[in-house]
Amino acid sequence: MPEEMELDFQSALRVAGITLPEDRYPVMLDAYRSYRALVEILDEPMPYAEEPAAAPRLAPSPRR
Amino acid sequence: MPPLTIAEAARRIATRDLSPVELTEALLARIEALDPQLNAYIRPTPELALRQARAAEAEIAAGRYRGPMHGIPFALKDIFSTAGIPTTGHSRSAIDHVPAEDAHTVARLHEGGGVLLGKLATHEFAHGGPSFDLPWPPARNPWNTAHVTGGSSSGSGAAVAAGLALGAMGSDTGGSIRNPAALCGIAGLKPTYGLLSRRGVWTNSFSYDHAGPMAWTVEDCALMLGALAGHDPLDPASADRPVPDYRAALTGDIRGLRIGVLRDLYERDVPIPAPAREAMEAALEVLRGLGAVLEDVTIRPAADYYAVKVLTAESELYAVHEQGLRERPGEFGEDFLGRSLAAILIRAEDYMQAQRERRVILAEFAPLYARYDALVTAGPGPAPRLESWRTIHFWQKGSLTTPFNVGGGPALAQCIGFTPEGLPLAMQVVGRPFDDAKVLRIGHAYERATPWRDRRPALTPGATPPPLPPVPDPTPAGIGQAERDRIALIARRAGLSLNERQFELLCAAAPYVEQMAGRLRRPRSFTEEPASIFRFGAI
Repeated sequence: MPEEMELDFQSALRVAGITLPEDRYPVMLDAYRSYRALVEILDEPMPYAEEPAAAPRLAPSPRR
Repeated sequence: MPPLTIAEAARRIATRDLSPVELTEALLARIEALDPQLNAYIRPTPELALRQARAAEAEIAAGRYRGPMHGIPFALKDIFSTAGIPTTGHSRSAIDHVPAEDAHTVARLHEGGGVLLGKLATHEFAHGGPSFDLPWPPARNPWNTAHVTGGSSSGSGAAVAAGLALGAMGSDTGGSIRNPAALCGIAGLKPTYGLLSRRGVWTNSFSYDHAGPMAWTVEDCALMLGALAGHDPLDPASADRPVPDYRAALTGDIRGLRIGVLRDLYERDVPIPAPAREAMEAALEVLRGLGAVLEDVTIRPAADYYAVKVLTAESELYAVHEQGLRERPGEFGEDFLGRSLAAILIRAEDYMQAQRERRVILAEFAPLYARYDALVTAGPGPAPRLESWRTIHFWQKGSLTTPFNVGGGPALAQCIGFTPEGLPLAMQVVGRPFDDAKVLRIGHAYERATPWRDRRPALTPGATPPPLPPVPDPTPAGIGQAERDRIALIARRAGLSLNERQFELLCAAAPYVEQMAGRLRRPRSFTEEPASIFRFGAI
């Protein structure tokens, strides 16, 4: 599983087009593990009707 | 009894010239005789219908007439919650789901005295093509049962066209009211986002879901809309504003209205076949003849709108069904899986760029709304044959309907003629947000000036439809082994356990997800806000 986490991290970096300096790699991998732990906290079933906090606001606003 | 419109039936019910009970009995008999060849209904509710019809008749006899939906038999796409009646989304994964409450829109129809004939077929959870591996067969097109109805409000289109309901509820996230309305030759309105409550309707996409009426005529859509529209404080997207009299807006007079014709969209961008183009030209002539002022106008490529909508909506759909997809992917049809699984390849930043681009698009619509009273363009169609459908089409093709889900304004699909083979052709009328009344006014004026409402599908009781095709094999994915390995890794991270076919469906969609995301990647100012904004008080 730890190996898979690392592969997963490397894949995410590849897709995002990010290259890390070698000396930063361990700390960033550690941060990625922490992020995955945060995601797990939210990983619970929700009723389909549970709405997001951000709702569409369709009034146009010009480019700024 | 020949099929009636809601307007005709309401007029006769109000004057006690027509009994709601007799009307309901006639509809139930017609369903029994004709629906076996159409599969429009997955669950008729005859006992409830007769009970409601008797109650309506008694009330009207006692002088308590509630309005134009009183005693009118209607039906519901099976994503609209009905208290005590299963609401399955046409999916094995929700086959035992029995809601405790009616959807807000359903409650409003009941308050108006409507008579529920039953629950209708839908593409799975309002998001899939015609599927051949679900607990119920797909609905068939009443004009030719070898052809698709369009979707996702497939049963609603078939039932109304065949005269198996006077009106039906559909939902439209990317075109799901207008597709079946167009392909089945009826009228269907995607109202302005927020005009009708979405509460109690199985969520497809929080950002793009619209509930709306489908009926034989534009006037009937206006009557249904009048009963349905109104603020729902329990739907965070619901608009709190006065509801106009939509029927009163149907003056028949469109003289002087400025109408922008989105010709590029259907001639070059998403080209329609020759008979549909000819029908559009003729329809534009009718509008000119009625006194409207027409002018060609161009919008962005359809692929832009499609990328914005798909990247957002697939992410939201996946969030709704995440648990089921992880634990029981086999309970979903392959067409649904071929769309929804690919959401795991959409990154959070892709989702956000799509939401930001939507806001830019909304700003681009503003000058069009200022210059024109309405826009018109072609509707989808004619209906293809059932066996021609492939899941990958969802990813490959832009759409004539989706730009107006992104814009959020009202969009009506209505019949503008038939192919030589007898399949319906359609036009869309698109309006400013909350100017649904003008869209209906234009559609109604066109409808009154043309003969298309005199023609109904010819159906023979007992006729046997052609056999259904098998579930199509996944389209081979055009990707290499390294990309497959990456996708397998992402699938594992997402907690998915997929069989070989399911994994192939996911791989086939992958290049299109990347293409869409790439379309929206451009330098943006940090001030470019998304279209979805947090607001205190949202429920």
